[in-house]
Amino acid sequence: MTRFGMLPRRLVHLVIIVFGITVVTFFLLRLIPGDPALAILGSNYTHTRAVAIDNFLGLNKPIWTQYGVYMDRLFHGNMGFSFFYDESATTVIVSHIAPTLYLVCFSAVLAALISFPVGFIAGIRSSGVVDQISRVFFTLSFAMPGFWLGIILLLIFSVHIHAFPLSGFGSGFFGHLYYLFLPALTIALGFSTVLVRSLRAATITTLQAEFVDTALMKGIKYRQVLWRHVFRNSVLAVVAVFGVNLAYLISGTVLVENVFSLPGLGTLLVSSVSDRDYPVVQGVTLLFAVLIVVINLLTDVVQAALDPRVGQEIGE
Amino acid sequence: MNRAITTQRRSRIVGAGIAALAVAVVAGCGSSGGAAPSLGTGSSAQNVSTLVIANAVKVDTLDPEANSVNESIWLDQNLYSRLLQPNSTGTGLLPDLASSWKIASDGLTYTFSLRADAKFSNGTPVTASDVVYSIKRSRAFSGGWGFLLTAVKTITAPDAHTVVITLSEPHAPLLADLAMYAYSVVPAKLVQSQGSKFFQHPVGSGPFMVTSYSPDSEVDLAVNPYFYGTKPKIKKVRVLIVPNDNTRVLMLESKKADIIENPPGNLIQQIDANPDLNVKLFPSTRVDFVQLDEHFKPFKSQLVREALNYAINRKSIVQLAYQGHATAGASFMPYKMQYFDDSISPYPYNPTKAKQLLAQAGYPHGFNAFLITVSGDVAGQAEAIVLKSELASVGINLSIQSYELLTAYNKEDNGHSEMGERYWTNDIIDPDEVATFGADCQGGANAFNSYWCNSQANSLVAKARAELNSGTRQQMYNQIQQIVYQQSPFIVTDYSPYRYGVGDWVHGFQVTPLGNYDLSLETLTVGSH
Amino acid sequence: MTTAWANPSELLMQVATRAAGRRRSASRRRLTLTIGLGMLAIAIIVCVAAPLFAKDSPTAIDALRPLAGPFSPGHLLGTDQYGRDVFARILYGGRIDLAIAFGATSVTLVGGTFIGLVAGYVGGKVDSVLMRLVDLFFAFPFLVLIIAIVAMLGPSIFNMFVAIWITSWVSYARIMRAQTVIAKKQQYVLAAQALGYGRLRIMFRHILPNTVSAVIIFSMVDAVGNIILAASLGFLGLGAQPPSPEWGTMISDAQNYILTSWWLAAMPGLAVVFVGVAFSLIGDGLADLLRPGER
Repeated sequence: MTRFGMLPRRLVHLVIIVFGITVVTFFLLRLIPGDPALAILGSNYTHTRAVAIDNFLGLNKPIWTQYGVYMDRLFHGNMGFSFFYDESATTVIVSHIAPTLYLVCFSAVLAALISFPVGFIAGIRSSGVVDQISRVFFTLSFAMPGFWLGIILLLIFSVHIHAFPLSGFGSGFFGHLYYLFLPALTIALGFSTVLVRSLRAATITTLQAEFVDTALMKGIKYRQVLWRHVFRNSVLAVVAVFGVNLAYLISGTVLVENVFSLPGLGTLLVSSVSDRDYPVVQGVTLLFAVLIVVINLLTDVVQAALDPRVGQEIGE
Repeated sequence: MNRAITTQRRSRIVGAGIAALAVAVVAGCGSSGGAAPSLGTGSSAQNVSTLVIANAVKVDTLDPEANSVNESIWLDQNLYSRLLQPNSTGTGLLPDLASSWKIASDGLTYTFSLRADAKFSNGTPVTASDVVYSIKRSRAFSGGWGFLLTAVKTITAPDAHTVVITLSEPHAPLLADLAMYAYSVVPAKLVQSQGSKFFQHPVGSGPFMVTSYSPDSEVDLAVNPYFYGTKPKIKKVRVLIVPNDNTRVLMLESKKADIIENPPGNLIQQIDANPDLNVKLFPSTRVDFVQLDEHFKPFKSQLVREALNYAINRKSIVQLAYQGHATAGASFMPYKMQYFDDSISPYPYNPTKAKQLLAQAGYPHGFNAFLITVSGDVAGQAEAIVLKSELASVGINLSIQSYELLTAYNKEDNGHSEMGERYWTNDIIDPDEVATFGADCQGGANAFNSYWCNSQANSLVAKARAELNSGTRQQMYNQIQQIVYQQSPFIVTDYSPYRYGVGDWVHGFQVTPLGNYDLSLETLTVGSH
Repeated sequence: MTTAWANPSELLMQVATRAAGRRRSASRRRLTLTIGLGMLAIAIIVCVAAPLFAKDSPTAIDALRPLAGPFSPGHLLGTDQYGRDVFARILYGGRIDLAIAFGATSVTLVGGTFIGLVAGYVGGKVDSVLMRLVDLFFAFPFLVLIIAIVAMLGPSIFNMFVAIWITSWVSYARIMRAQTVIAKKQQYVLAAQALGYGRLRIMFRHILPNTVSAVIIFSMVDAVGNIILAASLGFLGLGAQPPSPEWGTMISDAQNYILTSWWLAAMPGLAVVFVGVAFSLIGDGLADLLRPGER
């Protein structure tokens, strides 16, 4: 029970943090110059029309009242109404989730596919060829801005070699995977740097552990030891890294979605900040924050489940 | 030792993995034909039945009262009809739902007779009560276009095919107002019962109807089987949303799109060089200008504003910002619109005269000012660079500030600005709109946020709005344009056209100065390609 | 031990210190550091002394020679759409990006370290509040925060600094706090406390010197992150103003020219990679050298 003793406290923290985020987002947004009326009216802006729109959107009430209304609606599951999409903010956000979700999952899978073999081999044969090359390669890719890498990949694989489509999300499960390959690869390469290094380090550490020598002495084949013990332990050690990066990744998809014209949450966030579409910005930020917090919590839980000592330390 | 075998096996596994990935990639390449969007069915036929248009901006809504994004407005105009519609040059009006109309001699009553064969895409007839409902609904919309109809007293439907509008005073722009997209006709009963959900799959009486609606990626249209006008020759339209400029151009070049909106200026040559593609420039109602805020002391002086006009070489702006595809600006009204004063020509480039005027005004050594630009606006940034260097040679030291769009607008309009890059486009073909916003400090926009006030201009604008005789109106608008030209509360730099990249297998694509292309969508054809 | 809620840079640093130099000889360890320092030195010298290396002004328009390719006469890396020399723009732009790497990072380093040190040593409610604040910052999608800050304050180089200061101090605080909590239990601290030394003295003269290497190594990795962040802001149009060059803004402007003039995007990107790799190598080399786990 002490393993998960930290759970109730963490859940309370989660609620406090999410609440804090709604406050910060709400007030931060309204500090940005310009308002929805300006976005809607553009060059045809007149004070009279702007006031009418503000009244309609409830923006001329005192700010604490507006916040109260927002929180009240939120508790009833209503994220507000998007003036720009003429739909509830919830509907707008839900319709943009798929590309981002696919992208994040696909990137995670690609990153695992790339980094697990490479990191593992680099660890077993450290200072070997794979290790050296991967160090150079991943040092380079870590220093590359994601959007730049995306543009380069697009240039090579879409423009010069017509291997992949230029933009969009495609249709059908395999269509989505095809259209998302380049963007997912862009993200995966950045993601992989930390994974490879972590796995390599974990592999080296595990290899030196006593139980490996014990197993070998017992006569278990080296191959089996590698697979059953070293690999598994190393991968488990990397769980935390994986989970944390995943959370961080979610808010980083914006730039990649921009380069590849994907209609996901990142694109939605940028355009709704531009439009000052307050309910949608608040909704997406909330969603991101909840996702990040939940993923972090899950990562800690998995770690605690695997190693009780970790559970206690994290609870601090 | 077993280690040697093990590591060999490891590398084989890795090798197999990479090979598998490669196979997947190659398979992906192979199926790219299938994954690409299909371009219409009958490949054996001469003409293709689907038109693919790639737009740069997402659709905001299909509710005509609430549209603010241009591309959505143009989409709406294919889905709905209005009482009247602008003609293809944007200088006059044609009948649409109203087959004829009568104006009473006192100009206070308009009687419209609706055509009998107009039907919505669900087969129900368009009745006068639909028209009345639609106009009233849009008029009542907070912050919408109701201000255009302040002179309207009543809107009634004495019978199913007649609409009567009475005014409190003569209002010359009325017909143009009713031709505006916001006053599109929607089926009253359906909108009343479904509310805003109606606009997720709207029903209109225009040539096309929506078959699929994903505002951020694609909107699909099919021909409205009940359309009363010329049946379009194409059967379907796919509007793709592709915000990335390069991607749009690449789609045109690979023939995945037939028409693309707004190709970036530097790629126009590349597109034109391609024998199968054209860049079409259509006259627009866009007027690019530099906003001057009179709260900034030097701009209070008419001499300074005049000097600025002479200090700017409009030709180099046209060249560097628009690659030569624009017209130097003179009158503040859109180029060649109704009542445009052709006799006004652009200020010539004369830096010597500019310096003289500045000295006369008390600024022999120039002054410092900031220019607000919009970040991401490529043409605007180029223009800013040109302005900076040209004004520097007359002693005006310009610092360029670039902000995100709305922040820029906010800073330009707040009365504490100096110079800012803005533009105007018409929503109606009548000059009343641009005159009210640009020449009348009481018009609600402080004369394009210059805070310049000229009582003569104000009274002319009000009089011209109520003047029904077109000859007299022309005189009045000429006077207004002259006053604005001489007083120069803002600097008109150029008129820039709409740019479209069009495959030469598309025949008959036209865009009116107001930006809509519904008439041409009815007649254009898409050849096989 | 991997702690929860770290950002990728933190984890990279932890990993680097853990597996650092276990099988490499002393001279090889030094090599990484030397190469990194060398690369950074080249970048700094070339950018600071830009007028010596690039004879053109980065903002001089040459309407007669736009979009010249690399190795054109007089323009080593070509020119952009206004005829401005790309090489000059990269060198002068480097001043901005390097200023961010150093300026933004050093402030967050000092600020975050201080907060982490206090939170870790004082503990109790202070620690609780500070760490909840840190959690809040971590959970908040950083891009939203940055876009909002820059949209509010207006895009400028200084405001980029502000945006980075506000968002990046948290990692330093967490690392420092974790280090301090461990250090608190060490012999030398217990001895100092027994001797009656004041809190401040213990914090700054005993704990800090022994734990600071962790944050310094992290700052190298963070510097890379900050340059990329600045480039991202420039890319979104929230960064440096025209006509001043900045690598991210240059890449963003070059997007429209990718099909016809690839060098406009490639060159600034390579510059970012060059400086980024330099910092990474320095970080790795320092990790090898300092071996914080063993102090």
